This record gives sequence, C-alpha cells and structure tokens, in this order.
Amino acid sequence: MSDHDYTTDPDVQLMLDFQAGDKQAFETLMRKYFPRVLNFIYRYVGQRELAEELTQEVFIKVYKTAHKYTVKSKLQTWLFTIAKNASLNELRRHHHRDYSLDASVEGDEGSMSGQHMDQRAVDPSQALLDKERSLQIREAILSLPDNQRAAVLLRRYEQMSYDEIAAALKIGPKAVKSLLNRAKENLRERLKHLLME
Amino acid sequence: MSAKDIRKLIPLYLEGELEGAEKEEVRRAIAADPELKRYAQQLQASWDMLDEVEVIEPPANYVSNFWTRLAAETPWYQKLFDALGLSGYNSRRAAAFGCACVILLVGVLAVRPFFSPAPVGLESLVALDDEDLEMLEHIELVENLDLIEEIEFLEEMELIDELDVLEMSRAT
Repeated sequence: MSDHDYTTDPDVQLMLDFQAGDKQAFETLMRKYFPRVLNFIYRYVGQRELAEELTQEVFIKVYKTAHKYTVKSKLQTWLFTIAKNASLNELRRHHHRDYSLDASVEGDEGSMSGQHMDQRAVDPSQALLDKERSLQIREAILSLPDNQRAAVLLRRYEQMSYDEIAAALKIGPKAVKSLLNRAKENLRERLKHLLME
Repeated sequence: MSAKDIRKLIPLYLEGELEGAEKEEVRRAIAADPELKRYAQQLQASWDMLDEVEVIEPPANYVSNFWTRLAAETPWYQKLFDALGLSGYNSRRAAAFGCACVILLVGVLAVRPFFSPAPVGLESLVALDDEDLEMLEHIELVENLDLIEEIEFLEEMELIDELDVLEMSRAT
C-alpha cells in the first residue's frame, strides 16, 4: 500500500493545498465528504442529532490536525479512521450502545432516499412498510460488534478495498476478511425474517 | 473441501475474492448442493438489502455552522498565527515559537556588548599605568594645565617684583 503514489489523488492534493494555507481547499473537501461522513456516523451510532454533532467534531479535528496528515493513504481512509474513532469514543464514553431508533424514525421525515420517497408518493402505506424495513436493517447493522459494523459500513457504503479498510481500522487485510465474513453471517441471521417476505 | 469449508468461502466467492481452482470448487459445490445454494442466496440478499437503509442529508447551514463553531473553539494564539499567515500552528508549535523568541532575545542581549562601544568603568581603569592614574586623579589640573602654568609664571613675576622693591629700598 505504501508503494502507491497517493499524491495523484485529487483529495490528497486538496489536503496538501490546505496544509499550505488554502482554506478554500478545506471547504471543498468538507462539502464533498460531510454527507458521507454524516451517513457513516449515523449508521454507526444510530442517532441523527448525535451523528450531526460528531460529524462537525470530525471536521474540526481534521482542520486542527491537518498539519499532521502525511500522504500514506487515500484521504478518505484517514477521514473515516477519524470518523470511526470519534463514533466509537462517543459510544464508549456514554455507554449508549442501544440508541433508540424510534426517535430517529419520528424525526426523519423527508430524509429517505429518492427511491423510497417515490414509493411513498405512490402509496403511503407502502412507504411506512419500507421505513419499517429500513429501520430493521439499521437495527441489524447496529447490533453488529463495533469492528464488524465499521468494516461493513466502509465496504458496503464507501466501497473501500480490503486494504483500505485494514488501514482505516488498523488491522490486517486477513482480519478484515474474517470480520466481513462474520458480519455477513450475522446480518443474514438477523435479516432472515425479511428475506422470507 | 468439506461443506463447512465451502460455507466459509462463500462470502469471499460472492465478493469475487476467490480465484482459480478454489473459486471453481466453490462454484460447483453451490450448484450441486441446494442447502449451500440457499445459504449463498441469503448472504447475497441480506448484503444487498443494506442499500435500503435511508440516506440522510446534512443540515442546510452545515458549512457556516462549522466555521462558527471553529471560530469559537480556536484559541487566541491560533487566530494570531492564522492572521500572520502561519496556519497549521497548534499549542505545541506556539510553545516552541515562544521558546525560540525567548532564546533569540537572550542571545541578542548576550552578544550586544561585542557590537557596541566599550563603557568607561573600573575595567578600563585597570589597564592604566601609575602615571595615567595620577593624571586621572588630578584631571581638573591636567585640563587647566596651561592656566596653572600661567599662574606659576605670574607668581614668579610677583616674587621678582618683590625682590626688586627690596633691593631698591636697601639702596636708598
């Protein structure tokens, strides 16, 4: 991984520009990654308000520690490492692993993906069923152990390679394969009832 | 390979991470065993199902919120460095910068005597010989030497005059 030339990565270039004092470069990065980091944290901790708060913290940390960034990996690997650590610290600090997803369902009107919004426009009862189904899938993700959950989110939603996930979680690529295998098996077990429908 | 081993490899097979003979063996096992096939289908379906999780959007003013919060959390020295165009400075660097300033100041004070005129003090008096010291003790006399010499001359003149008067009185 270290043999790869990451300086050609446009995000890395933006980060280097920011290190040189270009604040606009930082804002460009933030606009690009804020929604992705927000969704990663939201799926990791399960609460929207907390996810928004933590995402702000992640970018403040990135801003303040940008001078420490060295080009050893893609920028997103570094960014999601910070996001995962911030989420994990928050969960450990407050011991609230079991966030209430019900509150989130009530408060997230209009935040569904485009596909689901279209369905809801056609059939409100179907939209409710879809929302319930989405909630159950989120619960299945939240029920995974911390590292399995992080590996699943990075693989499924960020399309990271095994090596990139290994770098983000600071474990070996073999451990990533093992984590993902167990996570998939756990998800299959927890979502089996939805598969029957 | 046993069915248990095949089962462990199915997630990697579905991800396209297997190659060669291993990949072929898993493919054939799935095709031949309905139970393994069902397992593989469930794994794939539950993995695909993750796409159904809702996507949330950031608050409309998240960028301005960020800059406001950053400004509130930024210490004064950081703002100073930013204003000076030295962004990227943190508390450790600020401390190092402060130390460097102190060292520079002490250094300047230490070398300043070598570049300024030597002060007149006891040290410079040590270098003088006895004659110079004596002159220094009577510096006012030395400075007015011409005047003193004139006074002595006048005194001599007065003495001569007095002798002349004495001689004249004797003659009379």
